[in-house]
Parts: sequence; C-alpha cells; structure tokens
Amino acid sequence: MVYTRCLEDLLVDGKLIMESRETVRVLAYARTLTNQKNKKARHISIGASLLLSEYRRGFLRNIRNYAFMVLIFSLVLTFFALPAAYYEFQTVAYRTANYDISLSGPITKTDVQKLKAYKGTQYVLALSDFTTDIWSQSNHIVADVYLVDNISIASEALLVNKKLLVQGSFEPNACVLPANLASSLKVGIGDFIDIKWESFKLKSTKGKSLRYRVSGIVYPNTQRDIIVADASNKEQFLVSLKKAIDQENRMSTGYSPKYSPDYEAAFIKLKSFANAGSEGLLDQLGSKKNELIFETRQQALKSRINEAAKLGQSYQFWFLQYGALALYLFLFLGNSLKNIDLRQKLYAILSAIGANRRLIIIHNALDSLITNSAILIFSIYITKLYFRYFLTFYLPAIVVYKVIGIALLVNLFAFIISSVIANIKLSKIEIARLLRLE
Amino acid sequence: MGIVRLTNVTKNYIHNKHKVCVFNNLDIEVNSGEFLIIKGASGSGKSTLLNIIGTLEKPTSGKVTLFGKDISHGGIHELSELRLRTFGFIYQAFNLIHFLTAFDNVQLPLLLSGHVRSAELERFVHEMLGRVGLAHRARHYPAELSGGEQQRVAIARALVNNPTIVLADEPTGNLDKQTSGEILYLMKQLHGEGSRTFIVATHDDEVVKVGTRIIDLNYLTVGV
Repeated sequence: MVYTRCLEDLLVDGKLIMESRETVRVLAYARTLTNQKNKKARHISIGASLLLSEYRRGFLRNIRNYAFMVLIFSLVLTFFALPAAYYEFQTVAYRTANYDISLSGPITKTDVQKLKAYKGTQYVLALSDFTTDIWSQSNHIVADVYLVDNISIASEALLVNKKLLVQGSFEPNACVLPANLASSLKVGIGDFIDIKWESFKLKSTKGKSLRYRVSGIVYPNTQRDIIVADASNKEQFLVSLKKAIDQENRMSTGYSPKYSPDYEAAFIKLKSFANAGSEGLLDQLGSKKNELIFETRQQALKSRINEAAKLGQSYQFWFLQYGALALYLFLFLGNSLKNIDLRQKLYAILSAIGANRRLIIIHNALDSLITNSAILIFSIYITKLYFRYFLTFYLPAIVVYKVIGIALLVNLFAFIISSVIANIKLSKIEIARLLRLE
Repeated sequence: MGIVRLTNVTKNYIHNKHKVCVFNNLDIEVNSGEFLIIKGASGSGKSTLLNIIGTLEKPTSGKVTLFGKDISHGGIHELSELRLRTFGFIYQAFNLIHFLTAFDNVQLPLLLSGHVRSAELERFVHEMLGRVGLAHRARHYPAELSGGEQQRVAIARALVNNPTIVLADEPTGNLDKQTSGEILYLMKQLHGEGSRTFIVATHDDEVVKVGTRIIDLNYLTVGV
C-alpha cells in the first residue's frame, strides 16, 4: 500500500513526473508485489483445475472410500449429538408444558369443580384419554388420544403444546399430532384422521368414530404417542360413549366401581406454585385424592433429566463416541497419506516442469478441503437421517448447531493434522527417483 | 561459450549403510547450442548427472554454474523457477500426467510461467503439438496414445516454454527401433531450429551418432 501511494505521488495525469533510481526501485517493487499476488492466484487456479481433471478421470475409484468415511463420520456425529438430543427428547415436553400438577385416574366433573374452586388455581384442564385406533386414508395405528374441552388451554398446558410445533397450529375442532405419528399415518396439515374404538371389541363402540382435521404437527418426545384433539363440542358423544363402555364392562366383568369417571387426567396450573402448595389443592378432593396419581411437573422433569444423564455417564457410550472418532481420524489421515503416495509421481512431474512447492501444497490442501467439505456436508445430512428414521428423534435446532460445531471442529483438526503430515511427506519426495519409475 | 559448468562435482549416496560413489571430481563444460551426448553403461551416473544439471538433485560436493551463476546450493523456490524458465525435461518413462489430455499436458508449463496470455495459449499449444506432428491428437489422454506419440507430447511439453537447455534421459529407451528413429529425427530437427542446447543421456549407439559432442562417463567416472 505504501508503494502504491509512492507511485501515485510520482504520477501526474498518468505520466511519470520524474525518472530517478528511486522511481525505478518503486516500480520494480510494485511489479514484484503484483507478480507475487498473480502467482498465488495462478497456483490456486492451476491446483483447482488439476484437481478437477483428476476427479473427472478417477472420481469413481475413490467414491467407495469416501462413502465409507461419510458413514463413519455420521456415526461419530450421531454418537456426539446423541446425549444432547436424548436430553431434549426426554425433557423438552416437561420444560415447555405450562402446568404445575398432573392428576391421573378416575376424575369426575365434581372433582374438577372442586379443583377450580381452590383459591390458588389459575386453570384446570381435564381430559378424556383413550388408547385407541387411529385411521388415515392409507394406514392405521394405535395411539393415545387426549380429547380436551379447551384447545387453547391445552396448547399451553399439555406435554404436546404449541412450543413444540413443527408445522401448523392448535385450532378448534382439529387435532395436533407428533411428527412420527404423522409419518406413520402418512398425513400432513389439512388431512383427516378418524378416531375409532374397534379394538375395544365392544358392541357399544362398534361403528363409533370421530373425524378430525390435522391442524398441527409437533416434535416427537417421550410423550410421542399422544394426539391432542379438541372435543369441546363432543361432550354428548363422549358422555354416551363412556356410559356405554362402562355398562358393557360392568356386565361382562361383574365388577361395579363406585362411579363412572368423566375424565382420565387433569393438568392444573397454580397462580403461584411455591406459595399455594399442592397439599392444599388436593385436600379439596377429600378422600378421593388417594385414588389419583399425583405428580408435579418439576418432579417429572427432574426424573427425565436423571434419565437423560445416564446416557452421557455410561462408560460404554463414551467408548463408542471416542472409538468412532479415533476410527474416523485414522481413516481420514490414512486416506490423506494414501493420496499423497498415489500423487508422488504427479508431484515429481510437476516439480520437474518447474512448479514450485507452494503449488503442490495448495493442490494437496485444496483436495483435502474439498473432500473434507463434502464429507462434512454429507455426514451432517446422513446424521439427520439417522436421527429421523433410525432413532425416530427429530433434531432440534440447538442439537443441529451442536452437530455442525462438532463436525467443523473434528474436520478442522483432521485437516490441520493431515496438512502438517502432508507437508512433511512432500518435503521428502525423491523427485529424481520417481521420475525414473515407469 | 560454456553455459553449464560442473567443477569437481562428486555425488555419493548411502545404500544399506554403505557409501556408494556415483562419480567423483567431475569437470564438465556444456556449450551453448550443442547436442551433447552423455554416454555410459547402466549405473555409470548418466541420469544422476542430468538431474544435477537440471537441479533435481544436489551434488555431494563441487560446484555447478549456469551462465556463471552457482546453482548447486539454491533454495527450492529459486530452483523451481530456474527449471521452469531454463530447462525442458524428456524422460524414458515419458512422465505425462495421465489424467490430462495431450493439450493440457503441453499447456501446463505455459500456465505455470504465466507469460502467455490466455487468448494466445491455445494457439501456442496447438502450434507446438503441430511441430511434433500431434495436432490431431490434442484431446487424447496419454493412455490413448502409442509410446512414440506419448514421447512426442513429452517433447512438446519440454519445449513449449522455449527453454535454453533440454535434458533428455534415455528418450528412446522405451521405444521400438523405428519409433526411436522418428523421435531422434524430431529432436535433431528441433535442435536445428534454434540455438537450444540438448543434453542427452543414453547408452543407445543410434542416439550417440546424432550428437555434436560425446562425453563417455565410463572413462570419466572414478567409482569407490
């Protein structure tokens, strides 16, 4: 830059104003700088065009090697991303659901009224829970269905909630289901599913069904088999269905419970969980509280976190992670060294023609960079596929970033190491001997 | 006038922990424009001598000068630049780059030197291939060419940058008698076209015949 300035000072209307030894020196230096810059660009361009020609002629020869490396590297990424993905998978529903206490068991309308009447209660979401048959046009499965009377509260409170939406939204008279169920049923937003009770094998449920439009799809998590459907205008249907099921069960089993439940679960949000206290809330139910299973969201979350931590603490899993990483690095470096060995003759010919060492280093580094980048991109894609189809997890954004970060770090490390080794190897190439070889 | 001068040049190497002397205290002067033949039996050090002149190997001791400048201890960048500008190499094994076409092989030294503008490059390369009789094979890969044709491409590549000195190591070693004759004729013709110096290492008597001067290493070498 200094010399450009000097040159500018010496020029008036594009003509040199003086011819001195200094001018000549400045011009010579400026020319050297330009030549050096051009030479570097020329080396990159020649290196790249040599590589392109080489890939064109011999790409298929190496594709099996690279495919194997992609598979191993995606396994490395999977093993390293698994603890974070598993943590998400275990805890995300409990972190995002906006309830404090869940109750499950036979819950009546009276119980719900009592819970709502408690001074510390913000809201109570009671729901009918069936494990039943779900049909789409092309498939059918068995899944849990939460039939809720307030889809708006459900979208906040439940373990399948609006923060987990991948697509769509919670809408009245529609249903939301996890991505893995949508994939099994081959349905998307706007498609219809039918909830049927055929597997109950009862006369009263035969032919009964509810049809719902799919309005939202959520990430799968530990609560992955739950479909949430708005039943706010299906109260009569549910009452008569449950009564019929209850009667038929009483007749066939001879067992007669004290009452018919209106709901199977309730999710309660308190105005202040810390101050209100759960005991006071459950006392509203009197002796009925002993028939219900009670769990706070915090308790559930804690047990999920403990469950998730087990994976990262396992010695076998650590061995898998670092074993796969070592195998990948071994393969990558082995492949780089093999490539240099295969290219020794090429480098000897280039040296004899007059290519300088920098071109050879650039050629080798470009090859390493291109293969590295290709392995990186394909491996990240295959890792996503592993998670989606093999582990049935969806990768949340935070885990995707982690995968990309790990991939970049490992590949950068492999690139630096292979470049250092390559430079050492290249400096020891015996040009004269190689040129004599057939 | 001597353009290359070797003074007291010795070359040793280590083989199985034993020092082997290829040649000892060699004094040679190469004149501008001559077709110098370096003759000798196998193992007499012909190729090593060419490699030392061509800066691909360094002498164990002694001095090698090119146009009066000592090149025996140059840095790697300086020597590669020298090879690019001053020398053209022809080998027995042709040493073409197998994944490049004849055109691309010949083009490579021009690209490296960067002296020919890209617009003129194609014309230049075609002209050079034409001079060795291979303009019609420009887009063929080495594997698609005969031995003689490959050697012609190698000659075109060696000459395309207009080097002062062409070093040829057993250029007919891999060719049949008829093709050898054609290659020799071509080399002689190209030598006659300008003031270029050819240094050819060979043990083939037919090649020896075309030289303007012969150095027989069998008589110069003192092996230990």
